[in-house]
Amino acid sequence: MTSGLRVEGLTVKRGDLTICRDVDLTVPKGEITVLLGANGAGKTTLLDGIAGVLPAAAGSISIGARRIDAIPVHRRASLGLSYVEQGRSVFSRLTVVQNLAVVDRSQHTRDKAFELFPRLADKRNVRAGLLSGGEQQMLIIARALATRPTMLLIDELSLGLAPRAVRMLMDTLVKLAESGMGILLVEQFAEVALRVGTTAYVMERGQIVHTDACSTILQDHTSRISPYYLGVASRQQPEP
Amino acid sequence: MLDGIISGLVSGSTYAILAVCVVVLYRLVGVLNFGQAALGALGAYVCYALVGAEVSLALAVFCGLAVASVTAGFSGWVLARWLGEPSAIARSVGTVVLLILLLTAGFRLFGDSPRAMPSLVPEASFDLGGVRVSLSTVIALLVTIAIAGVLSLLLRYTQLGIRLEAMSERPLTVQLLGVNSRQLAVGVWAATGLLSTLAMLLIAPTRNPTFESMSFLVVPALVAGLLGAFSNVWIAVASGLAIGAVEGAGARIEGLADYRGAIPFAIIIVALIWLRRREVWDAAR
Amino acid sequence: MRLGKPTHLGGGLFLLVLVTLGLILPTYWVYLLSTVAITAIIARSIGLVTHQAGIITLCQMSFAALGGWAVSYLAIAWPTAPFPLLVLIGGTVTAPVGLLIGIATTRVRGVELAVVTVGFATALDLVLRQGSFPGVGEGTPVIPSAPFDDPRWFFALAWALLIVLQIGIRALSRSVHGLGWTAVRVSERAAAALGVRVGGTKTSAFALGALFAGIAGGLLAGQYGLLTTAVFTPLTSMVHLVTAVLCGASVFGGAVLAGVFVVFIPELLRRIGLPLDAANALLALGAFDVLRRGGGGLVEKLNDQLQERAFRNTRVTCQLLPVSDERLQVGAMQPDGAALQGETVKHQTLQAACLHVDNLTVAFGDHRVLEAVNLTVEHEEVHALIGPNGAGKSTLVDAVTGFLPSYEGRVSLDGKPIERFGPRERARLGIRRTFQHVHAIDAITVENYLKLAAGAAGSERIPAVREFLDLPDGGVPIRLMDVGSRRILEIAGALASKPEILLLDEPAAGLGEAESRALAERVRQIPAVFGCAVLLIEHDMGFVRVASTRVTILDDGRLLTSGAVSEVLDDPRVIAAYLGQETAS
Repeated sequence: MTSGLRVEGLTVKRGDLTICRDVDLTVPKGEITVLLGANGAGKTTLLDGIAGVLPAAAGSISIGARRIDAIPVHRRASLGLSYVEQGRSVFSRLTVVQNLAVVDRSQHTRDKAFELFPRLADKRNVRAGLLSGGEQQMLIIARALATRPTMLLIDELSLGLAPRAVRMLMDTLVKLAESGMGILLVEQFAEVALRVGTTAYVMERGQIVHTDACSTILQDHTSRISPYYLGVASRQQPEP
Repeated sequence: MLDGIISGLVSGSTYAILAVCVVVLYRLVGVLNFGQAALGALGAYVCYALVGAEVSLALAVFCGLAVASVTAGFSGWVLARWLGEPSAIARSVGTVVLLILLLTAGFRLFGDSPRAMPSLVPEASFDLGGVRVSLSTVIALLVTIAIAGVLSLLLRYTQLGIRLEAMSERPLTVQLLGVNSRQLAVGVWAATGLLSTLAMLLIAPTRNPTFESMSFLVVPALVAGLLGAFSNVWIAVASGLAIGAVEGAGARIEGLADYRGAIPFAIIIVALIWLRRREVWDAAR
Repeated sequence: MRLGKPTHLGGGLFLLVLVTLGLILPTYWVYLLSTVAITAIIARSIGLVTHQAGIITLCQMSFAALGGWAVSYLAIAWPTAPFPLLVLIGGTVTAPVGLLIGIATTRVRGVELAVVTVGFATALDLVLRQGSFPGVGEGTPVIPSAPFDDPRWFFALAWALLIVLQIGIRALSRSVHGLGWTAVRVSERAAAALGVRVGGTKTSAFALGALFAGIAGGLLAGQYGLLTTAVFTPLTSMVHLVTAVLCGASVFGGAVLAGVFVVFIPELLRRIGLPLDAANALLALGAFDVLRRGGGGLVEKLNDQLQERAFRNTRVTCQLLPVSDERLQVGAMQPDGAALQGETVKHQTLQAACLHVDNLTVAFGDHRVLEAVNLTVEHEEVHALIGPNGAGKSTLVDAVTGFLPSYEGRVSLDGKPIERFGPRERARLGIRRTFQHVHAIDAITVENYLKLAAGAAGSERIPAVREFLDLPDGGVPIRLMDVGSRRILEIAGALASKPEILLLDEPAAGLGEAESRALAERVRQIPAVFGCAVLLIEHDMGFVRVASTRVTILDDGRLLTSGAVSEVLDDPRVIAAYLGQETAS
C-alpha cells in the first residue's frame, strides 16, 4: 500500500488531555473517505493531528511511503497534504484573487479555480469577507487546491450552508476524487457525506469504533439521521 | 516658533519610523512591541561603541544594524515559539519583559551615562524662506517617507505583502497553505529591528541620550501608532512628525520648554477623547 | 490553608507570624519587611487593575509618586499631623487622578490602554524631574509622627494598611460592581449585555488602583524620608507589573510574594556580590515563564489547584434531565409561583407586543445584512428565528440589544421605542441576550455570576432559576464547567435579571442530544414560569419544534416567512425553497 494517506496508532493530545487514542485510518487516492461522529468525538482533533497543527503523541502518519508525523505544518502542505479547517477560513480583508495568491500568483491557478467555480470569477475582486457562505467555502476549496494536493482533509464542509450549496460542493468533491485525489471528509451530519463517500469511519470518544462501506451505514442509519432533516443543522461551538 | 517646528522634525522622523515599526509589527504579527526603541538603541549603541573603538563608520553602522536585526528576529522567534497562542495582552506583556531585559543588558554593556554621538550626516544647513533648515532634517524626512512608502508598496503589491496580510488574520491557515509563517514573523521582527536602529541613528546626534532614555522614545512612537489605531502606517507617520514638531515648538516657549516631554501624553488624551466619541464594541460575538 | 482566601485559622496564624517577626527581628529586617508590605500594596493594586479588570497598567509607580509627593508636601506644611492621616490623604488625592485617566479613556481598551498608561508614566516622570520632591531641596526628610518613627511601629502600620486594603478589596470584588471588573476583562460586550456599566467599571478599577498606589507612595515617603524620582520611573512601574504577573497579585498571597521578591531578590544579589539590576531581569524572565505556561501567576495557580481539589467530588455541570410529561404542566414547574404570578398577570393586561421590530435595515458598507425586516414577539411566546448562517440572525440580535452603531427602522419594547438607549440601558430595561460564543466569566463562581447577571433585580429569583436549570453548587468556579453548562448558566443569569424578553443565540450548541432535548423543553416553559418572552435562534430543528410556538425564517437578510411552527416547518413550499427537498424526507 503505497498510495494515499495512512494513519496508524495515532494518539493526539490537546494540552494534557488525550483526545484521540490509537486511531488507525486509511484514505486511498481516488476516493472520498468519510469520518463521522458526534460533537466532541475528536474528529477535528484527529485532523489537527494529521495536518500537524497538534503534535502526534504516538503513532505514525504517512503519505505514500513517506512518514510525515515529525514534519512541521507548512512542509506537510508542500508534500501534498491540504487541510481545510472548520469555519470559513477565508482571509476576509483580501480579495478572491489575493486569497488565491497567498498560495500561488500564477494565471494557471486562477484559471483552474474559476473553471471549477465560475461564480468566483465574477467576484474576483470582491473582498472575501463579503462573499456568501457558499462562495466562501468555494474559495477555500479552490485555495486548498492551489497547493496541488494529493490528499485533501475537509472539516465540516456543510457547516451553516444551505442544502443547495452543500450539494453543489459535494458534486465538486466527487469530481476531484474522480481525478485521483484522496479526500477525508469530516461531517457531523452524516447523510450528505455518506451519499458521496466510499468508506466511512465512525468515531466515539476519541476512538474509531466502526468502519464500513458508506452505502451500508447509510441504510442502517437513515432512521437515526432523520431528526436532522434540515441538513444545515450546526451544533458545533463555533471557533472564535 | 517655525524654527522650533523645523528642528523638531528630526525627532519627529525618529518617532515616525519607530511608529511605522510598531504599527507594522502589531498589524502583521499581533504584538505591540514596547521594546521597539530599545532594539534600535541596542543597534545604535553598538554602532557608536565601534566608532569609539576606531572601527570605520560604515562597518560600525553595518554591525549596529545587524546586531539589532538579529536580536529583534530572535525576540520574535521566542515570542512566536512560546507566546504564539495566548492573548494579545499576554504578548504585549511579553514585550515589556523584552524591554526590561534589553535595558538590563544595555546598562551592563554601555553604562548609564550619556555619550556623544557623531552625526552620520555632514553638518550643513540652508535658508528656506527665512527659516534655517539643516541637512539632517531634510535627510531624516526623506528617509522616513521612503521607509513608509516602500513598506506600503511592499505590503500592497507583492506576494510577500499579501502573505503577511493573510498571516495577520489567520496565522494557522497560512501555515496550512504551505507558508512558513513563523519565518515570516521573524523576518518582520528583524526588519523592524533594522529600521529602529536607523531611526535611532538619526536622533542620537541631536540628543546624546542614555540607553534608557533612548529606549523610552518608544512612548511617542506608541502614541503616534495609537492615533492611527495601530493599523494605518501613514497616519502613524504624520502623527510621529506632528509630535516631534509640537515638541520642537514647545521647546521655544518659555515655561513650557522643560515639560515638552509630556506633550505626547496630552496629545493622546485629547485625541482619544475625540476619536472615541462614539461607542464601538469589540468584534467578537 | 488557602492562600488567596485565608480561613480564620490561616489568617490568625499569618498575623501571629507577622507580630512575632516584627517583635524579634533586628531593625534592618523589620525595615525590609515594611518595604515588603508597601510593595505588596502596589502589587495588589496591579492585581486589581490588570488581573481583575484586564487593563495593563504601566503607571502604578507614577500614582505612588503622587501619593509620596502629597505626603512629603504635607509633612512640611502640617508638621503636627499624625502620619497615618497623611498617608490616607496622599492616597485620597491620588485617586481622582486615576479617575480622570479612567474617564478620559472610557472607550479605549486592551493594549491601547497600556499605551495611555505608559504615556502618563513618562509624562509624570519628566514633570517630577524638573522639580524635586518637597523637602529634598532643603534637606528636610519626612519623619513619621510618633510612634511611627520607630521602625517596628512603622512595620505595624504598613502591614495593617495592607491587610485593611485587602479586606476592603476582597469584599468589593464580591459585590455586583466588583464582579463587573472581571466581566469587563473577559468581554466588554458581554459585560454590557449583563447591564454592567463598562466605562464606570474600568474607571473605578483605575481610581481604586490609584488610591492603593497613592497610599503605598505615602508610606514610601515615610520609609525613605527623602524621595527621589529614580524610585518612580516608568521602568520601575514595568518591573512591578511583571512581578505582579509572575506572582499572581490578584490574590493576597501573590501580592505579598511580589513584595518579597522585589525586596529580597536584590538583597540576595547584593550579598552574593552580583549586580542589583539583574533582579529586574530575573523577575522579567519569571514573568515570561508564567505567561508561557498560561493560567495565572504562581500563587493564583496554587489557589486554582486547591480549588479544583476542593470541588473534585462536586457536580460541576448542569444536569438537565428530560422533563416527564406531568412535569411539563406549568403549575408543577413553577418554582415560586406566588412571586412570579404577579408579573405574568401584568403582561396580560398590556396591549402592545413585547418586542416589535419594524422595517429594520442594517448595512455594513455596501453590504446589506438585513433588509426591511419586520418581526413581532408577543408576550408569553417562544419565537424561533431560523435561517442559514449569514442570513443576518445574529445581526438582528445585535440591533435589538443595541450593539450596532446604527440601523434604519424601529425597535420597540412594550410599544416604546428604544433607539436612544445603548446596550447596557436596554439590558436594564429587560432585553437580555446570550451569545454564540460563551462569555461566562471563568474566574468567578456560579453564585457570583448569577448575582452579577441579576444586578438590580437582586437575588430574589436566583433560587428559582437554579432549580429550573439544575445548576451546580453556587460555590463552583465557572472555569471547572464545560462549554454546554456555561451556556446554560448564561441563560440562568439572564433569567435571574427578570427580563421582559430573552434572546438566545444558539443555546444548544455544544450540548449533547439528550441535554439539548431537555433544554428545549425548559426553553418552552420560560414564558409560563418566568413571565418573559423568548426569541430563539437555533439551527437544530428538533430543538425549534420542541421549544417554540412561532417561527420566522430569514434568508439572505430578508424575511422569508413567519407563522406557527408546525405550519411553517411543514409547508411544502418552504421545504422546497429553503429546507431542500432531498433531506426533507
